[in-house]
Order: sequence, then structure tokens, then C-alpha cells
Amino acid sequence: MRLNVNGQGQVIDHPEERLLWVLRDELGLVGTRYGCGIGVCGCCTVLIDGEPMRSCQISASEVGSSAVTTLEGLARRDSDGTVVALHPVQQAILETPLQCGWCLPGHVLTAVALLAREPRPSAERIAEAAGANLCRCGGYNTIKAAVARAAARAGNQ
Amino acid sequence: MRQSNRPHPETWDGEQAGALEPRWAMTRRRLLIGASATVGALVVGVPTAIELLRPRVASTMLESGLSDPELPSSPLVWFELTPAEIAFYVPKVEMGQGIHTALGKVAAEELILPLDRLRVRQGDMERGFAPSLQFTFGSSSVSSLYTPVREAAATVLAMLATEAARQLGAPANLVTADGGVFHTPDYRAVDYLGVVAAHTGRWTEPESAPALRSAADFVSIGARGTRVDMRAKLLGEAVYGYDARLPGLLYGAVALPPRFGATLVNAEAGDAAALPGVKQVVIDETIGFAGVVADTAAGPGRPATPCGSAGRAEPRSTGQASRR
Repeated sequence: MRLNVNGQGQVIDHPEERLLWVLRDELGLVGTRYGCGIGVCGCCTVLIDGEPMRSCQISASEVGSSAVTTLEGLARRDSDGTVVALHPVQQAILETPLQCGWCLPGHVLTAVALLAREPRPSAERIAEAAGANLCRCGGYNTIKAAVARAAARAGNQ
Repeated sequence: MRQSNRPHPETWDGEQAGALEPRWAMTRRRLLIGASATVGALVVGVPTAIELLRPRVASTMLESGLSDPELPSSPLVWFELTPAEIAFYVPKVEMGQGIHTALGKVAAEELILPLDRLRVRQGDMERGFAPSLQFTFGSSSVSSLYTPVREAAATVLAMLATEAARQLGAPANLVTADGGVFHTPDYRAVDYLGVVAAHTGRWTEPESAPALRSAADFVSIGARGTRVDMRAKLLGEAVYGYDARLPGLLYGAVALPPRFGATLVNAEAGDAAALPGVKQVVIDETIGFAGVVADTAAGPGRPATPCGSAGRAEPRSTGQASRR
């Protein structure tokens, strides 16, 4: 089947496989991570038509023709694929980084979806969204501050 | 001096793979200098012999004969300079502790180079780093490597500076380094990469140990900055151990009981071994183990979920798991 990943059509061989493994093992997009495998931790979060979803909980065939966005697809790139600009959420976390970064894809994509829906989220809304993803390093205050900063910058543009 | 018996490393530099023939010279200061005659490369390694925390590895190094120059069997610190980049290979794994950033700063200070122009990389087995060196413990990585990294980086800078002076035709004592560029008093300049690119023949090691810089002159240590590994992590480009894929890699799936404290009572292979891609089914009820090995990650060999029920080829737990 064909899968629409980061704006590109990709032919995949295992449509019944969970999306997480199709992304990682068939397409080599290792920016999506396996955490718990039971839909709890949020490390495998990707955007499907802009909505954060646990990629370990859905098969590729269930995604169908919907648009999948992974961590690799957030930055603005030129025609050669060179990064021109990070997404504001990526940029904010770059400035105040997390530690190991294992949970980072889920946090970044969850925040991207939040800011797309609510460009000026309250601190409570930011915390609520971040709370859906586990960070074992305990980076929540850093994440919340970074998301707030990304929102403020986007609002100023 | 004789050439290393190791297979030729292919990851020196994308452009130069195959061109670089590593030969090694042990200097008076017990640094390993890559004495390649190839244009445009400088490699400086510090062998484990100087790492106090690892006396056993050190003695192995010594027994293998340091007077016989070979690729170090287990370098502690490794700098690799090509016309394309200045790379610093760190022997310790980065798992969020910030080791690569901290030691990158240490190296950058002695190289008098902005941190963002230094490529900090994980020391790998291609360069002879021993797996036993890569683990971290006791918050000791930065403290134990602080001085060796500084000394090695200072030596690299001294060698570059000597060569820069030769290339610029200026007295070595009048050449100054700043921001990755060597300057002469009459305003001529060459950057570090340019020095490496224009160099031919052997590198000259310093006659004496270069003086280390004063902490008062540090600009990176103690200053706020981003982590050297974070951009790659944010772009999904970082390679974690879990992301490594080697030729011929096999994948294992283990059936685990559905709750803590439970053990496997019995299991049957069923038709698992006949499924495509399955190499082996392993069941050992005496230790409560059931697993399958397959040649692909997708399909039958899919790593099991915690309850061990996902993979098609997984041994069926006919008796299920029961509490001890």
C-alpha cells in the first residue's frame, strides 16, 4: 500500500504492521520511538491529519491515505532536503534542551498539534498536553516553558 | 613503523574513504599521532594507558607493546581533522548526562574553537574504542577525562599552529589562534581546516607539552549553551543504540508473562519455526523462557509486546503464565 508520510507517498510492504514499525523499520524514520508499546508513554506519537496518535496502537492500513507527520517532517527544508528552519517548537527545545531525548518526538509532536489547534494556549492547556507524554528525565518544566515560548513567538510573527 | 593490521576504516571521512592509510607513532608524551603521508588529515589519539580508572586495560595496552606503533587497541580520546571538519570522538556514551557537550566544551577551549565548529561524536569500535570503556559510572566521565582531553586538544592545536606558521611563512611564536583561524601580525590568516587541507607529509609533534590555557580565558565552560547532540535529536537524525542496524542483524522476540512476579509454565513452538523469516524458536521451560529469532523486524519477528501476544510467530503460551 501507499502511505503518505511527511508529504511524500511511500510504498510499504507490511500494511498490517503497526505504524511505528513501518516508520522505523521499513522507512528508516527512527525519529519515532518505541517506548512502552501499549499506548501509554507517548514516545511513538506521530500526527495523523494533524492529530497526535500513538503509532504503536494503529496499523499502517488503518492510516490509509491520511497524512502522517513524524519528527523528521517538521523542519522547513529546501529542495535538497537541507534544513532551512526548525519548527518553532523544535527551536524552543533546542535552546533549552531535554536530557536524553527519548520522549522528545512525542512531546514535540504533541506540542505542534496543540499550537496548531490553539495558537495561544494557557499554561494549564500546555501542561495538560505535555502530561500525555511520559518523560523519565523529568523535563516537564523545561518542556512547558519551551512550548509557551514557541507559542509566544508564533504569536508575534 | 609498520601499518596497522586492522581492516581499513571506512568512516574516516566520506570524501576520503580509501585514501587514508593510518600509521601510528607513539610520541614522547604518549600520544598516538596518525602519521599518514596522505594529504589532509591529522589524527591524534590518547591511549587508555593514561586512564587511571582502568589499570587493567592499561596494562593490556602496555603488554601489547606501545613501542610498536599500531592503531591503538582502545583509545581514550580521539581527534580527527580533515579538510571537511574537526571531529572529537568521545569514549563515553551520551544518554542525557551531557557528557558529549561537557567534554566538547573542554576540547573546544583548548582548541580555541567555537563549540559549534567542533563535531562531537560517539567514539566507535571502528576507531578502536573498547566497549568496556564506553559505559559510564559514578559521575566520573567528565572529571576523569578533563585533563586528558585538554592535553590532547592542546597538542592538536600546537601541531596545527606549527604547520600554520610554516604555511604562512611566519615565526611560530607570532602566530595566534582565534575562533578557528590562525593570524599573523601582518594580517594574514588561515583557518584550521585550510591548514589541514594544505598540509603534506608528516605532522610535527610539539617538543614539549603545550601549556594548557588558564581557566580565566575559558569562554565556553561556564557559559550557557545548547547541547551538541540536541539538534540531531530534534530532527530525528540521532542514532540511539536502539536505532543501530548492522548487516545480517537478527531480531529477537521474547514472550513475557502478563504481570510482575509471574513465570512461564509451558510453551509450544506450534508452527512458528515454519513461518517466513523465522530462524529459530527457543523454548526453555526450566528457566521460563520462550522466544523467537527472525531475520526481519517486521512480520513474524516483531519484538513482543509486554504481554507477549502480538507476534504471529511467537511461541504460544499454552499453559499461560502463572503466579509463583
